[in-house]
Amino acid sequence: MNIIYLSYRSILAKPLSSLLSWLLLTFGVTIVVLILLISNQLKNEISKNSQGIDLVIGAKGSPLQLILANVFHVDFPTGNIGLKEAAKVTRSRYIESAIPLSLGDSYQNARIVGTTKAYADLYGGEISDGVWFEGPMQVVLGAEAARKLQLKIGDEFQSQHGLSDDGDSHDAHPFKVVGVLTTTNTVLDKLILTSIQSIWEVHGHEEEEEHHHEEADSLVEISHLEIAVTQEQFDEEEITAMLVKYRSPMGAVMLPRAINSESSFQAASPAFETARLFNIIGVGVQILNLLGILIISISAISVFIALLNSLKDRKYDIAIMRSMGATRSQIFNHILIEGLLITFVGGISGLIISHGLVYVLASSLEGVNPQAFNFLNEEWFVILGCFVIGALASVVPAIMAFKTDISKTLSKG
Amino acid sequence: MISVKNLSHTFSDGTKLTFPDWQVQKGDHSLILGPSGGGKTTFLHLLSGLLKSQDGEIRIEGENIAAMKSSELDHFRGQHIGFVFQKPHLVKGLSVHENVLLAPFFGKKPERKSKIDEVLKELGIEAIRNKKINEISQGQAQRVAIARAVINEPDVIFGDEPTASLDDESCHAVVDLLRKQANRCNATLIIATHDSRVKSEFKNQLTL
Repeated sequence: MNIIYLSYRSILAKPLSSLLSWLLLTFGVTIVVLILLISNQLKNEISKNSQGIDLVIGAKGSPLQLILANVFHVDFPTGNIGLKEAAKVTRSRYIESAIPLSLGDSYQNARIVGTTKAYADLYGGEISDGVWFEGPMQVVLGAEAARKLQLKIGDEFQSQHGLSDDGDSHDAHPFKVVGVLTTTNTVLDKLILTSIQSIWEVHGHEEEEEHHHEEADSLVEISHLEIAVTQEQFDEEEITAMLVKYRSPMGAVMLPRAINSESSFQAASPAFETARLFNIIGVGVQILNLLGILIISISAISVFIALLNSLKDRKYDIAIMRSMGATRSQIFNHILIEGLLITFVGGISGLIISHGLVYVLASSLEGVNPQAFNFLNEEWFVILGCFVIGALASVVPAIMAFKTDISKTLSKG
Repeated sequence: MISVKNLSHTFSDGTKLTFPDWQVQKGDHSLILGPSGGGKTTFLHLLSGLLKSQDGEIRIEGENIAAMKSSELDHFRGQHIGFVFQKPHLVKGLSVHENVLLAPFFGKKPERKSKIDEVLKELGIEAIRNKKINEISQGQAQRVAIARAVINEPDVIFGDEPTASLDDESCHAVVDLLRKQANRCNATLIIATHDSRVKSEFKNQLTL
């Protein structure tokens, strides 16, 4: 027999009110911790996927959309930009390197990205199987894309126009898988990479193809983009965006303004746009957090009321325990521990449920890596907070129990 | 042995009760009689250390409990005294044997399972040892309360109207059990009551 067991049995003796307190606290903690975990993972994902990208240059439109489409591959592109002007822009002395991207096609919801090897290097993606694409119509799959699409090296598939399932398929131009990348835990894993020329070829007009071989000998090198194209392609073709790395911090000051005012393109910074995105969703996060804290407070009140109510019934129990030799402090601890046990168990179950939910959510969301069992330091504060709330809710009933006048209580019978 | 000298108690409303000097030998059993509101319960609470007295001397086994601090009284009660009240008032969340176990736990005596089983058997309630309190009858509950009072083998067992809510048959059984258990652990049994059915059972009587 000990005091903790006594408190535990006392909780079980009034299952309904204990259940209510437990449910409220569990629910409140679940909300608070869930928000904590999700916003933390979201920030992780964003910083992982925008690493090494200082600026995105693309067609005019919403800067946020430009970032979402070209860095995170979630929104639709803003449009295309002419290769000729893009090449001119990359000659700026503020640009260290630029990676061309050409979006717009997909295969079974996996986006096909026309780019160069530099794009895979950006995320540390290496060939785990097969080779890097060299010829036209060859693709390299991200690790997750390969798994989901169940494609192997040597397989061929027809891409669809557009980024959703219902696009027209490009029957005449099948892609061939030549390599699969290692897992990088970034957006790269869910993409299909190919050369920019392959994208042009899929969309190219028949007449252009006829010229293809005639002009093959007069290639134009675009050194900053690390691609070489024919003069006709250079004049006429388009890409979707460029991912730019600055040569010096001065680039951050000069380059976006120069591009936005002097070219027909727009430039957007991933860091700035994601910060803006967080500001927009921040209000909702705060409201949810407040709601969680409100529910936790209601649970504290419910623990308080439950204890206070039970005191009326238990006055005699307490007096009897005192008659058997229990000290005042033992009685105080008995009531306090009862409140603490409920809030502790509620807090722990809230943590378990929120981690479970993150696991389920993350597994069902594409491209997000479930890290459900990563515990954050903030969670210790939540548990500590539960203890403080449990203590606050039970300290008054505990003091009242401490002060019980045994003789008076027992003589009332 | 219990001895009372010059004992009086003043309530917070100013009413003062004065009690006669009294002595009970170890192992003797005695009744405290008197009408309701005559101070029986107050006297019993003073004697057992549930209520602190302002004046006088109460000696139980040589120790003057009237001079003890409240924490010393807690310890003294746990070590030397057992109680039976009008209603059993068992802790609802615990089983029968856990309720009995509370006495050695709070009284800081060894919690021996064999001892509990022995006492439950003597009281004829070993079959319900694992039952919850709301599953047993009123008569069984009063026996559990007696088991709880005697488990620590106290020097004195106090009964405050232990028979008042029982029918004639149970009344005799409870008095019988109390006396038997008191004799077994060589305890002094002191019962405060206005129940006339009990009067004939005890020679030693103090009327307030």
